[in-house]
Amino acid sequence: MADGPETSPKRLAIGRLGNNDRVAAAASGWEECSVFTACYDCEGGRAAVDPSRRRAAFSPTSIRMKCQHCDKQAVFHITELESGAVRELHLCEDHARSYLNQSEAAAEGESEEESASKPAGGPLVVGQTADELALLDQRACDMCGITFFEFRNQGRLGCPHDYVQFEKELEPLIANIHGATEHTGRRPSRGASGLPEATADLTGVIGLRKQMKESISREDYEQARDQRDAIRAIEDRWLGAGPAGKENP
Amino acid sequence: MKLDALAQSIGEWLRGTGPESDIVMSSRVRLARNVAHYPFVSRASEQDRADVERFLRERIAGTPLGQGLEYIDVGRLEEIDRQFLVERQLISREHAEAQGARGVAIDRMEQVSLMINEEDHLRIQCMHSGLDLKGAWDQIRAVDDQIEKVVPYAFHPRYGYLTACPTNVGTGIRVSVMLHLPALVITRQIDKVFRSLHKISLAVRGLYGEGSQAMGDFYQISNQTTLGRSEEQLVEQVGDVVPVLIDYERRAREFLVRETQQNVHDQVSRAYGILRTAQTISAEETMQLLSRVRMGVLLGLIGDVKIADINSLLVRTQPAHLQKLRGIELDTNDRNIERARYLRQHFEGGPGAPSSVN
Repeated sequence: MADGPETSPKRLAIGRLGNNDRVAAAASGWEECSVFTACYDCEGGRAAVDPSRRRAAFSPTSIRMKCQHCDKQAVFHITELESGAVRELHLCEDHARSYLNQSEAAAEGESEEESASKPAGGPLVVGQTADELALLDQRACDMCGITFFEFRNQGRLGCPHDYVQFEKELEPLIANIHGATEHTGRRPSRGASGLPEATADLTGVIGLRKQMKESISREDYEQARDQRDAIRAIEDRWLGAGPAGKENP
Repeated sequence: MKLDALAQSIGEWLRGTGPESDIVMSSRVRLARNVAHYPFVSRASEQDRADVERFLRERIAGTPLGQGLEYIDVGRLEEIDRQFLVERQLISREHAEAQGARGVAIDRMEQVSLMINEEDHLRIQCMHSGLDLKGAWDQIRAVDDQIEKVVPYAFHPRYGYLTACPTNVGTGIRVSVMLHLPALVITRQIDKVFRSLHKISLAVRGLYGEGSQAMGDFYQISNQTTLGRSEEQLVEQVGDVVPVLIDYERRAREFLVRETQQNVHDQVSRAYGILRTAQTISAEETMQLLSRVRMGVLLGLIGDVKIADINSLLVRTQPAHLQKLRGIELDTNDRNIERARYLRQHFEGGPGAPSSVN
């Protein structure tokens, strides 16, 4: 099928999308098509939406990949959202049907408490796809220590430096959410925080604080003192005189 | 600030004044901001959160703006008081339910609210009654300017203001209007409207924001994207669609009166009847019925009730307000009985009488 501008792109429909869902969706390359209970554009058998279980299954025309279980083309791309975690499945029609039926039956057979108390690995949990494993990036932020994988699961970044550290990963996601990657609005007019190096310099404090804590737990007080001084120097430069920035190592 | 005193007033968003206030309840703009030298809230340690809270509180207090604000330590409030602030839309539900050091600074008019340690370190909110996005934007811009002079915001030359969630990055702005759309609901056109709103990247939410159900035919319309367009453009994007929605709702109301007057009259009269006579009633049902009565008043089908009174009842019959007004904590059953009594008492007072609550 020709991928003209008219063909429906990657789409996602989840009942009552929250920010977490939107981030998870974007991180998985899906574009949402409705915030309400049904995917209006995909109605008519192309999309199955289950808002109560926060799942969307849909078959966009613009993606070509093989079914995870056989050689047929995957026509159903199922996203399971459970307590903030995203699981993707790519299945042919037959495997999709049996998967959906099976998990439906499993869900009915279980009470809420049972499924909640079961460890991951129960009948509803399917292993991560190769795609997702490829995306599973364990690189951590130098400042706050969050990994991209953690961000994908939580939908929240750890600190301002993540936008620098994970720029390569975040850019397509941001483009997907906003349809743009350049801020054109207001800028801080105040000299200090308006300068690009202000944020860069100040986020360094987050890493230094972490290192200082480590030094203290190693009982390397000399290094801790140096780190404290480095923190103070940065804070003095950008925060000016104020009640802030008093570290107590 | 005495929260009990607040309970006696109705706050900005239910004042029921301002342009187009028969349909537009309130206009709201919020900005998401973070300081550069601490991790975002979800990754911040308890100590970090306490430091951020103190840093922002003290710095903001030192501005001219800060002089006119009351600071409330949300972390120390009882659950009912936090719920009370949520009902008045001064803090978000997430902020009420969060852990650790957090607070909110509010101005006397209840137009400005500064939430500290919500999802972002700072959420600035400005709310005006009726349709007044421009006024709300002008006010919040001035607030942001003052804070920016003393707080180093996390800012990226390309991505703009940096936020914990990439859905807010860039301008960090959320522009929203709260609309009362009962006729579009009754005529079943509301889904169609939402679909077209979604196509132009606007989000539709319930009364209390993200994930909340639409209650009593009240809906929030807001921008979905925050990056790539200026704040003014985003204010315009939401502002441009409101007259269209107002027009749809007005036409639906006219249609109801023209084509189904008897039915509509019956519906609103029954709603009014239940509110005046019920012995026990839930918050949801109250909201739904008040919504219908509100429409009935606007259509001239009910003569002896004022819109301002309905608006006031919308907030005062909510759980925390009801308990604050009565001065005692009540369980759900007792609340439902108390709510019904409060409503009966209110309507017995005769035409437009203020509620006779001590």
